[in-house]
Amino acid sequence: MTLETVRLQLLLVGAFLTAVPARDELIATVRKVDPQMRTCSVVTGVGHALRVVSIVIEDDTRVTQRGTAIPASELKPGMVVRIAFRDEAGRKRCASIEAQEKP
Amino acid sequence: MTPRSRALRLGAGLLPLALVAACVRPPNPGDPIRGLSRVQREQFDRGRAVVEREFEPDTGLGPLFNAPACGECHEDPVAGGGGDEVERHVGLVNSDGTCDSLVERGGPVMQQVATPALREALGIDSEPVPPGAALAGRSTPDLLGFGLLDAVPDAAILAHADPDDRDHDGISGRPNRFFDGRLGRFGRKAIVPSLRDFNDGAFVIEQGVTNPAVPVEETIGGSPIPAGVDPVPEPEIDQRAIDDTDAFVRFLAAPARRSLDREGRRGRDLFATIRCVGCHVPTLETGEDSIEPLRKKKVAAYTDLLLHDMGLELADICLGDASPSEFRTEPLMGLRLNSRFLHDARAATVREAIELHGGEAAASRDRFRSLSEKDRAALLKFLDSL
Repeated sequence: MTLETVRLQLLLVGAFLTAVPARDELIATVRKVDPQMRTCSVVTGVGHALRVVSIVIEDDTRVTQRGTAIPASELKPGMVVRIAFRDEAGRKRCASIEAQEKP
Repeated sequence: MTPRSRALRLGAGLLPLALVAACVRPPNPGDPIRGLSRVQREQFDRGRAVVEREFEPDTGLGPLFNAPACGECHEDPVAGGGGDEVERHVGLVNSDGTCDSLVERGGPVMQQVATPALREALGIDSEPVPPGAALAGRSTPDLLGFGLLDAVPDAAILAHADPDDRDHDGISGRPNRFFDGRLGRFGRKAIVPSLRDFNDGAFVIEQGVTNPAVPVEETIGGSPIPAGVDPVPEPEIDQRAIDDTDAFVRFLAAPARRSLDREGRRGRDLFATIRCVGCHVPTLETGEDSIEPLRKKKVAAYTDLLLHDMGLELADICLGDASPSEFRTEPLMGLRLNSRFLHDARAATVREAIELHGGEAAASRDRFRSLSEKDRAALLKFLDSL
């Protein structure tokens, strides 16, 4: 393998890592689920500074409760959920939603 | 040297120490807790400067805000104290019983002042209240001793919870939880889990000053901020200033209680006898905090930091799990420093505040009413020592 090949491979890996947005996570309370629009809006924030975040539910989004897969329509307002998502062009595309147990 | 003369010499040597200990003055309002390191004390002093700093639109204020400085409201009797300002909060109970804090329409805190640029752009003086929203007034609490409340372990709070009133005393305190499930303890509805969150969020909702923890401005009643009215890039305050502010609030000493005379001691006993202590738990203990002066300390907070139903007369908005009539037990430490009482400052005196207690507190209120005038005076004298 020449030095040029190695350099090219490193460049390609770098470009790939830049293109794939970092996966993020948040824990929030479900506000509304819109099965038609495949969106779920949740409430989160810091102190009394609250924010509504809208996330896109993809066909391959894993929605679970107690480790068991459930349909997204079973997410109800007031449920606390852990969401893993990627921010792509301002849209939060969801990889997984895990309903949390009430403490 | 004989053992007796050695003992006398030792006693003479310890006497000045004992005298010094006896003469250590209690903290004044606004003093830091004792035992801070030099670095912590310097951070406390820098934090006070941030709290007293008045922001302008070109240093991050607004475009909507309630006050230009923390110390504008938290001012009485010192920076970090209470104030006579009453905020406007909103909420709505949905038809399915869930709580909507109207975040998408600017809730739950509605800012009451607009910067000149926003006034010019939209012709508004304050954030518009969403139609149909339930309204709540929120007075400015003093922050003295809040670092100690923050250091109380969750388990110590939950130990007082009795949501199903299993002990049949008519008092059923239950916790509120933040939107991520953490146990809440700050705010009149106990929604805020930590002092850090309380402070970080306050910069934005009270002053419109974004910071690393909350880098996005509040909306204008749910609508985006018009172009050009908020020229300062986010975050509008840096992490160091935020950390210093947090240290200032965290290290504020709890107000010292006045010593009780015989009447005051009787009042304290009556406070327990008529079961005010069912919610206003006299003492909480802090846990293994990383800050030594906050570690394993007894706090005469007179609160359980839990939600209690206070009756329909006081009901206003829901927030998180708290229903409109549920409020967190107000800490009574520093009560004597306040000039208005209850969550919305509706009571002009402590006696009036007691009279307005309802719901779970109605039985204690009725017992207060049935006391002789002399006993009521004793109980009020005790409360005036806090």
